[in-house]
Amino acid sequence: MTAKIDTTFDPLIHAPHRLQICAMLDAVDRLEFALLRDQLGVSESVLSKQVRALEDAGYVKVSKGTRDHRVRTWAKLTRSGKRAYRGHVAALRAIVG
Amino acid sequence: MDKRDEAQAALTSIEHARGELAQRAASPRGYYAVVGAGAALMVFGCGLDGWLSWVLIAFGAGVEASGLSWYVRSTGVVAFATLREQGAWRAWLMIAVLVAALVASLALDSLLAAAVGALAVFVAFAVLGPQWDRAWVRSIRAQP
Repeated sequence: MTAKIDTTFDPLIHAPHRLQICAMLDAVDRLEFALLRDQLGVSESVLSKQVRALEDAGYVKVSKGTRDHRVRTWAKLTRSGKRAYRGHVAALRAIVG
Repeated sequence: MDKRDEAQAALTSIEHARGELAQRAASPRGYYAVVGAGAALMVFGCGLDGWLSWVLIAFGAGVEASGLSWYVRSTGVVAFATLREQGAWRAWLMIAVLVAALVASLALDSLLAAAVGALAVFVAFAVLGPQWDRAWVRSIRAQP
């Protein structure tokens, strides 16, 4: 059985960096901030700003953990984030045809 | 740029991001050999009696945990495969070999059976693991 995807264009997700963040987070369970920063080629502050916007919308959950005496920050797409992202991709596909 | 071109550019950027992530999510070299060694120690430990059995099982579990930690540390990714991806039969075969080896090791009460089971588990993980990993990485790239 395939879950029905709501085809909704989401302007919040559509911003280039946020779209790429969602695309990566949708493929896995959690990603480290450092990896997202490297993949996007942006500074820590730019990444934080983009993730904060997604977090404020309830699309991303951020958590911190210490390993090897270093604080690592992780980001995860929430259920509503997944739904919104997939709906947005479906909307993009519908536009492209 | 019209709406259609913009949407196409967005879809291309998604594909690009997925491709880059897939490259990073691949397991480090030797990962499956380490995880296989941990599982093999646990299988062999199940076939022994007394304290040595528990030592091997605990050590094997420690090796498994270190292997997982190594993956997360080196990739920056935490991912749980659904095992429904194309090529996931390799992962299912690894699980089947592990379960069969554990059952044989516990039921047969034979050192030889435990040793053969442990060897089979190690070989299955070391050979099938990297193939499964490549299939999983491909599936990340292919996701919508």
